[in-house]
Amino acid sequence: MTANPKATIRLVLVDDHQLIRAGVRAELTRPAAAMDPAIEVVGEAASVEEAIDVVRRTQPDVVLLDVHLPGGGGRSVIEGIAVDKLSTRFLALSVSDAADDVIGVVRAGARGYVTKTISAEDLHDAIVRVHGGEAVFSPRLAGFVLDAFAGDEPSVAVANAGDPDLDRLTKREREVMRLIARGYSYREIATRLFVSVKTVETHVSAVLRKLQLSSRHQITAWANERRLV
Amino acid sequence: MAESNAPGAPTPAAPRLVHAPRTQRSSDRILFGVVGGFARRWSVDATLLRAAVGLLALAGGIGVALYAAGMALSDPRDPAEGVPPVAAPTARRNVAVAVATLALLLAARQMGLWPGNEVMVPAAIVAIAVVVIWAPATPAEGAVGVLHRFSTAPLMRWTVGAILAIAGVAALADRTGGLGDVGRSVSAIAIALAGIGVILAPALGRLLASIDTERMLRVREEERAALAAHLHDSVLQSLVLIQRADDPRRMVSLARRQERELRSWLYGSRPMGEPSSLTVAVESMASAIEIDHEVRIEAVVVGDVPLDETARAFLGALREATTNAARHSGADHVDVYVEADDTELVGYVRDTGVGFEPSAVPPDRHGIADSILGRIDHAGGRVVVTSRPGDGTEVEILLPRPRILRVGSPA
Repeated sequence: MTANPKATIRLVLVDDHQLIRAGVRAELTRPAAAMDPAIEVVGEAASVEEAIDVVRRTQPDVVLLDVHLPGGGGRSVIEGIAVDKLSTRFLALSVSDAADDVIGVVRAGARGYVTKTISAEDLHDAIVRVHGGEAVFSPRLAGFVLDAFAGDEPSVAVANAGDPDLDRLTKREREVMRLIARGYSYREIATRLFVSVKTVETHVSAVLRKLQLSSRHQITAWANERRLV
Repeated sequence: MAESNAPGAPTPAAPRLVHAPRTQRSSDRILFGVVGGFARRWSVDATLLRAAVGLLALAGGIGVALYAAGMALSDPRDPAEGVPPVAAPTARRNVAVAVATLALLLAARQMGLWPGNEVMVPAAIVAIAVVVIWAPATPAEGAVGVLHRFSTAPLMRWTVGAILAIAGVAALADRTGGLGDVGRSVSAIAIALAGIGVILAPALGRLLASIDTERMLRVREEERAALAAHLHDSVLQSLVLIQRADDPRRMVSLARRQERELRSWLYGSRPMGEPSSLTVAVESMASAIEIDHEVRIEAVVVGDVPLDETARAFLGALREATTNAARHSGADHVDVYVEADDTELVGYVRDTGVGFEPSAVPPDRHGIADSILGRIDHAGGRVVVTSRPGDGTEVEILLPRPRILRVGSPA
């Protein structure tokens, strides 16, 4: 499947609330200049099993995935699909969830996380980005990342068997994350840091990779701790 | 007046008759500033000159005549003109004045204008005492530069001066009434001092009282500012919301909530169920503002600290900034980002709304002035407001946390 940005993006909506699905579908498929390329909703699902079934059947470009789902949550959907080796990309969408759930979905393979308070234009933009292979960070996810990667603990990094670079954000990546957390768009961040939007996207993708692959034990520990909040 | 002619070399004895332009009387004055004025004009020590004039006054009234002449030859000080630059008194001129005085005294003695050695010697001693006590404290500059070398300490100066003065007065008293009367003189002086004390005591009391009052007023002013900040955050906000609410039920609920909050604040207890950590507090603040203003608030907190005094001040400023953004920006959502660690609290409140010209905010707009800037300033932090009309607003709040000493922790 090619990621031609001009072609219609085929989307599956996974959310256990019928009203939310209807609302998102209406917002995303409403004809408007900002909604280019067009998005076609090819399927909907309200539970984990249903979602796995629909995605296998329709093989969409992007799945908009609720973090909380009956039957195991959004990450179970991604893990259930993994064996199929589809090129489908996942974007997590939820209200404001506990950090461990969000991090769990991202570490399972979601390309980003946005909150349900996002505007229709921004959601459209996020879906297009995820479809193009980029990462999408909402302020909340950026905050989670900064929190999880807070503090430099070289001893821990050295002790890790994996790539120590994965356990640490570079100064620039941290800077980008902070600006996202402060509510700046990629374009605004690029202007502020005197770099291209492409560079900002590269930084964000690098952070996503670290978040998904790092063996830094703090991430798990921190996320578990946050469950209590 | 012969002020503009004959600028020839004046003799030290009668310089004021030939000098031009006219001398301005000095603000450094005891009577009319005449001596001070001439002292500045000639760059001699004013105290020395005063002592000389005083001595001459005793010598048959020559000093009085000189003072009167000086008065006639000088202009009253022009207050609008300010103080002209003062040339530092030089030792040479000071010696000249001393020699001239001595010459005048000797001349007076020859001419019979002399009350007698018994009076003049003690008078000279008293004059020296005056110089010692009142000489300016800067060493090597005054007429008594030599004296300063061995008596720079004020205590030393006062002691030496007092001994000289008492010796002089005692000698005078001995001459005028005999030493037997010294006791009486001393008691008379004591009575006079007591009288002065009675006169001055209320003034002194008033001075101390006014210092006390001033401190009290300052404390009261700080309390008033804190109270104003609180009322602005709570009651005024609620009143504004009530005015804007169309729904009577909403009005009632706003009023009731405000009443409950104000009551608990007035009677000292913290509001019930107040969160104990900054993260929770920021999130509940965000959702409260979201409900009040129907604007989406995206609050992200990284790190966490207990809700101590510093965090409370920070939270208050953050709440005010967020409310401002929700109320005035016109944006549909506001981003709040907070970073908290052991050393500092950093907060950003950003909207993409109408923005404003930060320099054009009227001073009666209490919000930014007191609730944000005042509060954070008072707590030792700083606030940066970045805004351009049409381009949104970002308020940055930075507040260092007081160091907490931890036993056994390195550094």
